Amino acid sequence: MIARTAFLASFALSSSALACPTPPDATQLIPEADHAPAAYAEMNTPPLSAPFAMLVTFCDPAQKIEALMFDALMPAHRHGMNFTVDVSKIADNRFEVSNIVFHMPGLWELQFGAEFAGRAYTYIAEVQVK
Amino acid sequence: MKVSLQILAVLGVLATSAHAEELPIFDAHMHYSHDAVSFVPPNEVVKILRDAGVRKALVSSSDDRGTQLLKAAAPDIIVPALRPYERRGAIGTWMHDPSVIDYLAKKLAKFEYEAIGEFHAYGDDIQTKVIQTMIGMARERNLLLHHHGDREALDQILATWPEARVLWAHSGFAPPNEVANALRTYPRVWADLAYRSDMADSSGVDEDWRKAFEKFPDRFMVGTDTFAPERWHYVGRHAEFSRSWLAHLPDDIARKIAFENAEAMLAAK
Amino acid sequence: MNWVVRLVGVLVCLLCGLSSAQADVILSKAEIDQTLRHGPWPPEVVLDPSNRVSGDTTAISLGEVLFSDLMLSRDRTISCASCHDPEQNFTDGLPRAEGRKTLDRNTQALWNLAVQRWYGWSGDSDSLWAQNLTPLLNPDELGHDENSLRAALVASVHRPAYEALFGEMDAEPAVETTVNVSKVLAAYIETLRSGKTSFDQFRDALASGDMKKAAQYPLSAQRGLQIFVGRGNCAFCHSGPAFTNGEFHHAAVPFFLERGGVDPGRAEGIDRLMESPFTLAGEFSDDGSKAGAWAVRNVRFQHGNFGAFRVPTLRRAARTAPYMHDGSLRDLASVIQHYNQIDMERLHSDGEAILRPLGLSDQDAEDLEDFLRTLSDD
Repeated sequence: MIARTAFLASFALSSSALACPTPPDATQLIPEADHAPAAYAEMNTPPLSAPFAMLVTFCDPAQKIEALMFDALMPAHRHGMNFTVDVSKIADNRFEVSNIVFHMPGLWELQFGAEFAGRAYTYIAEVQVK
Repeated sequence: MKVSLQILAVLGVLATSAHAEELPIFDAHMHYSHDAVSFVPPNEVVKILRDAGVRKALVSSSDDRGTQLLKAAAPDIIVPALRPYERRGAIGTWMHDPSVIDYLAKKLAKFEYEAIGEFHAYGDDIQTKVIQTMIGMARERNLLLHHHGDREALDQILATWPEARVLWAHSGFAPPNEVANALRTYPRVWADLAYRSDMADSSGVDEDWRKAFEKFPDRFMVGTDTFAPERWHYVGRHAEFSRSWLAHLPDDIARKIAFENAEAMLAAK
Repeated sequence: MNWVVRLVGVLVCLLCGLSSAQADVILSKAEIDQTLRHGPWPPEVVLDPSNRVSGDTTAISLGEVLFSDLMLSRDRTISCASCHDPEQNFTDGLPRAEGRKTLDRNTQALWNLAVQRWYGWSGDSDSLWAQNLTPLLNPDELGHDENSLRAALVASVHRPAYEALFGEMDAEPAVETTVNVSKVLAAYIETLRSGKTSFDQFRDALASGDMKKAAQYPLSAQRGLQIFVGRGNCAFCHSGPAFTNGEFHHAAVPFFLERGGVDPGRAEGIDRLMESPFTLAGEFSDDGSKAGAWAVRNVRFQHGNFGAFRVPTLRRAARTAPYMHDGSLRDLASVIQHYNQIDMERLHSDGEAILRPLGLSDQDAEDLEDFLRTLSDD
């Protein structure tokens, strides 16, 4: 909890400036459509079978993302997560996704859905959980 | 709170309208395989189906004997499909087994079927001689294809036989926008929602799925997927689950997904 | 000159020794990395914030006494210890538990239960104290109701110790008493921790780079460990220091019941969680922040929950046969053969896609069993 608070606090300090381009440690989200705004996720190393949070940032200030959906699955195992996540908007174009639990080690595919003015953008990313 | 609502939905608590209580179900994804026959006899299966309000069921089995036993026990409910392999363990290898063709020919000559499937095939599996021949056999008889696999395989099936009616099992476990894309691309593809629960959420129906259901109200259907014998004891619970989330859709769409779409699909020869 | 020769000689001997020791650690760098993730052990002691008597010595002592007291059953015939026998690693050695009648599931041992996410084969509870309510109130187990349990405690010699912890009983509602008894039992049970095993010695030696010491770990166990973290796919579910991810999976074990019907496993566990007022999100939790409540709030309903059971820890597993939720596999060798020849017909093609027949030779199976035994030799 303390670690998460510190993580969010450090994020808040940097949030006055538009956090694009992608910070070096962030995970770039791969959009399905070419015209989708650039987006990235920031997270600590995902723990195994324990809840963690990530911050998701969309980089186009002209497009205010209204809602974010998140899910994840393990393609090799063909199953997803055993928990739903909580998503909260913490600033314009910035969201916190919390209570993510990757309950098995291996490659997880992250799926993001962003809504803007009635349009939906989808993104994917991958993380390796040890 | 959202998960509590999910579970309440499962328990039927959210099925508030009297209409939902009585909503008949066409279960479009059932299996009654060799081991299920020994553990849950046909008369017990029929009682499970009737108690659950399942009025029709698309049944395929490994081996086919289970389907025939059920058809004899409840001809008013059972819609028979022919699975191309006799053991579930062959789901990843059957397309390389030439004896499948003889098996299909023999069964098709002896019994009446509405569909071939559920068969598992991914990507280029569709180009194997066994599957190409199987699609040809379905084409000769204008049978529905109940396909479990990815979009690439679905594309190849429709490239092989553009007029095919295909029921996409579990809708390929794809997200709703991708399922909608397949339905938009192929007017004669239908989507079964078996073994999925992502349609139900805190509001009753997930928003992306709701959009897909509203865009393609005539193309979705539900299914339990009784892949192991024990899952026959899940049929009632699954029917309640289906009624619960369907109760959050307009009545006409709910009725279509629960029952009418499957009937229309079978009639669309 | 002699000094130089002696030094060179010592260095050569050291290098020889090191080389020899390294040759006896057969794990690759990647396998060593995977091995390190199964420790350190034992973990740091963490008190349960939802149980205000967690770690309290008076509560632990009272809990230990109550654990074996027949007063905890309504007809004073059995106690917790009747099934969770301290002389048998807190289980009973039977396939299925014998309460007031034969139950549907195997009695799980009670080692290392402090602050898990879920409890029981189907995760009916999200705290140890809530889990204790199940046997206390189940008519087929200890068989109490809230009032009978309270009356038994009021009339017992334990009342003073109880009141020292929780205050006067006279005005206390029976449900409070029942929950408090379960918390006292939890305070005791969470002290049951297994110790360092020869695997842990091996793992610690690898962590500190002491290859000579690591090489003392038997080669057969090392080969078994290689299978465990490698082609056996065991570590996908039996992960972390406790060798469990604490979640629920299908392992191709039939779940028909002898008395008819089926054991719904996790599907029923979630139903019970949702119906329970005794979760970490409820008023009986002593944690005002409700920090652990996220799990019960966010647990996801899935059709695959039907017939899925919680992955058990492998620590001390070699001492707690028989195995699986229904005790249907009598020994470790049977468990290994179950996975080696897993019945693919019982698994959905989507969900547990990593489960495949393993193709283990007899020697492989013996090695894997040797490794598993090193998780129980503390």
